[in-house]
Amino acid sequence: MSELSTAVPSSQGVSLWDDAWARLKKNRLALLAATFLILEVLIFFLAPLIAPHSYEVQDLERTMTGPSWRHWFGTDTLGRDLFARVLYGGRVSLTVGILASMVSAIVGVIYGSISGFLGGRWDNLMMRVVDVLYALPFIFLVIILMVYFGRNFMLLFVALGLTQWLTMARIVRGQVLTLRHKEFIEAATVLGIQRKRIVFRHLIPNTLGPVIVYLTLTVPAVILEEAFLSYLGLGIQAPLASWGTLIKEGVDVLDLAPWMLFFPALFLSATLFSLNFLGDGLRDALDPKGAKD
Amino acid sequence: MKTQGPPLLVVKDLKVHYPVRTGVWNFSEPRFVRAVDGVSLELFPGEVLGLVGESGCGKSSFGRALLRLQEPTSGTLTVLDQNFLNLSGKALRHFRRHIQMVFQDPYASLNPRMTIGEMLAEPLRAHFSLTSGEINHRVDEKLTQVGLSPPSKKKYPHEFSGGQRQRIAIARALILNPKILIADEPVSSLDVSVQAQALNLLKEIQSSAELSMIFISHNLSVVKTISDRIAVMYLGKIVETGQREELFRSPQHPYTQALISAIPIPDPLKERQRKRMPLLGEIPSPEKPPSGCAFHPRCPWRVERCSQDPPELEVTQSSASHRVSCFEAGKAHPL
Amino acid sequence: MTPVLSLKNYQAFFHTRRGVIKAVNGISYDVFPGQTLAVVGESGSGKSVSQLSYLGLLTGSPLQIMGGEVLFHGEDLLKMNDSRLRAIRGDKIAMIFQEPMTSLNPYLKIGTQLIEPLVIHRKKTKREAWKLGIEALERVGISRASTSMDAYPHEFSGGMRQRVMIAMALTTDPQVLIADEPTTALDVTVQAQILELLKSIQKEKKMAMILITHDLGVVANSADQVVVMYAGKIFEKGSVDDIFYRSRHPYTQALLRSTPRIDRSDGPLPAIAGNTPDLLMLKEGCPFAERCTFKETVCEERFPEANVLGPQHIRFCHSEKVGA
Repeated sequence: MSELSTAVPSSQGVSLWDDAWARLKKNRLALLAATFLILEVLIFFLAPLIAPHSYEVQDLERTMTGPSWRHWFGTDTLGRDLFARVLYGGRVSLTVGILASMVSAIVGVIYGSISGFLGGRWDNLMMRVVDVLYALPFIFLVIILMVYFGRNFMLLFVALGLTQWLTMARIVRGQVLTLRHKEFIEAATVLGIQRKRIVFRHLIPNTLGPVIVYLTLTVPAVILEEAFLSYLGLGIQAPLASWGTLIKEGVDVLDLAPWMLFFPALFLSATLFSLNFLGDGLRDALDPKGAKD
Repeated sequence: MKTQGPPLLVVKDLKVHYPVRTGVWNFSEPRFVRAVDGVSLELFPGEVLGLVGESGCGKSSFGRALLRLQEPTSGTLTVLDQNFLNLSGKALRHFRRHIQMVFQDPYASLNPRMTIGEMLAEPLRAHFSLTSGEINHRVDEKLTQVGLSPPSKKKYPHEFSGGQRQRIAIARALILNPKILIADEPVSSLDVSVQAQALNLLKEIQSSAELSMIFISHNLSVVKTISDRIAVMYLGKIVETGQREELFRSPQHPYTQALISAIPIPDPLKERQRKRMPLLGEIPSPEKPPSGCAFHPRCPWRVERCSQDPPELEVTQSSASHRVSCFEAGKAHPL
Repeated sequence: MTPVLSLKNYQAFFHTRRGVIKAVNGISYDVFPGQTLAVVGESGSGKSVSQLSYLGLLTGSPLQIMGGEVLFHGEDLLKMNDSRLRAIRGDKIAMIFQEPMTSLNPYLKIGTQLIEPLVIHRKKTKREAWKLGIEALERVGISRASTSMDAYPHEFSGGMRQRVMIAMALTTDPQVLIADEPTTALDVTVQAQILELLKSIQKEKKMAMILITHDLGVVANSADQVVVMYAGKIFEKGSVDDIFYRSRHPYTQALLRSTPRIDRSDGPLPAIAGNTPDLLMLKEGCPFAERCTFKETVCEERFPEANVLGPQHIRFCHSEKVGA
């Protein structure tokens, strides 16, 4: 029996995720951003318990009042409490953002992985499809969809998600193309592992780094798109609010009630910043060069 | 010698030619990189065949072609009496358990996001229906066999050193109990003090499991340590092959002689006294191999015929298992 | 003979977030004109860092020079200012590296890169330097030297690029050539040519050469003196015959025994147990202790003092039981 050294005595392995987590924890800015986002989510989803007023009750005697003890963020043109509306609006915006991003991620990752793994003519074909779709102006498609099918909440985030999957697919395909020739993938082929398993168990987990980072950048993009749609009047229907609709309402009466623009814009910006900082932090933490000995 | 019985692996005139992309507007004849340009050999039960050569000789492409990681352009490959190149789909996948590979880079050949245990269990699940108890047992067994402790199966590759990772790779290659192992530069990425460990391990396992192995390396000293028989490659072709002792005692091909002569020996006295066989120039690109015998531009024995006809591998006078591909072999050549 | 380069107790550490890596941990040796000193070690031994660091080539990294002296003709390189160091580096002390692919700028012609040291250090005009460049290329065995001056690196093979590197290093007639694994990336037949070339140039110019390598065959071929390094320390140093035939250090002996040789075909190689150490987790005493078959208690307490065995031969080991 040849001599050797036994491995370090610890019972549980330290995966690369654990490593990345440790590194992320050291990044103060990213942690701050993450904390902020978590707090936001908590507050928004606890809105019914926190907000002293409802978001839809109108008080026509107190329209467009500035911030006060009664209405912390003031009221809007119909006397509705802005604080409540910002909270509920946040709920909508974040939900749409996250769900749409999930849709784009799932579709994009699967499509990109398969395309990259198959390579050759299939890859070519699949990527040309992506190229063609890329060329289509999404906003018109969404507008057409909304006009035709009505302003359905579900439809909104599916539609938005479908506009984002293209870039995700490209990113993942690029990753897979690089990985495909890595020896551990070849090893899996030589070992007779099923192709489906190679894609899902070997390729995809090793593409997740860039995917996660891109996800954190997709969410703000979707939120902005939704805001844009809502600004055009195509997104969320009243009395529901999203930050987009609130900003639209705020812009309309900017000189009369600036707080109506200020608060939703503040929240939107802060959220977008946080998502970006978190994305940066995740990218640094997941960088495989750091994890290699 | 241990080689008894019919060969487990038979390669006949295998070629791997990569097309070279010359741009959209080039309408001239397509060019090819002739990485492997007609290789025939056999692997017998229980033997270690060393395949050695410098850059551009095609040994790695050949190794990969044997496993169909790179599809051969032409030729036949018979593994355990099966026409390996004809298999596809599920049949191919299942047949693969008989012929396995150890890769060069222990850092790249292990999935960084899988535990060792999962890596070893996965092939078992892909080929057999075993209970998790049985799987666990086999995994533990293999880990112990390569000198690692069973509890290490919960760990991830980056928690191990290079030498340990290569052991894991070896364990993984053996978990299906293949009959044939292709080792592609398995120790080249390891530190010198760890190389010997890995070589000893391979040798031990090979002899106890009666495995047949093709050991590919650019390092002739390493190949000599582990091989029973050796084949020397140059620019896609085998130029000489023979039993280890015979080949070193009496190398027939000028390239083999030059190769042996060029390798420094860790012995200053011997180094000072050695007469080296000078070799001019450098290895040509496999894209534009010289005419006739690919070695002729650099060959000190060159005659007219060498630039015109390619020589074949032929049996030498000394031994039936010693073959060389050279028109001038066997004749006296003053230094 | 006075040494042209002399290291005394040289220390250089990397200060990283995870801890201190004592890459070079108190090493001393002399290099003499016309002689080749081989610095032998595996990865993590500090052999490369020990040479790159005192020339100021690792600035920007967390490397800090912690102590000792590096005397070039009596002057301490460590105490020199930047401009003086730069004047010496590339001129009087030249270097060639392992990867000829990446050492040459792919966007510039060979000739342009070749004449650079001459223009900068020796203030030659481009025309004069170009002529000298052609001569240098001829000296290193590149045929059709004048056409080669106009070629680009990618048109050359690895071996030829390494010759160009050597030519570049030699244009200024350096007194010391530091070669960091110069033939590791080359085919063995090309390696033989390059090693011969280096030897003949050295003889002609009475140049000192520091050859950094892990290949004991190359050492036996080219070296006059040898220094064996491990985890930042020197374990043994002496003439090449001292090290290969009269070594009394367990690591050196184990390394020699476990190296495959083309002239032997005995059975299994006696391997060294264990792994190369993690430099972040070095304990007290000798870094080889945990892998050493001659380990004694004292080995884990303190690093051995110098044990003189011959006029050039020194080893660092506690054990008296290590035979020749």
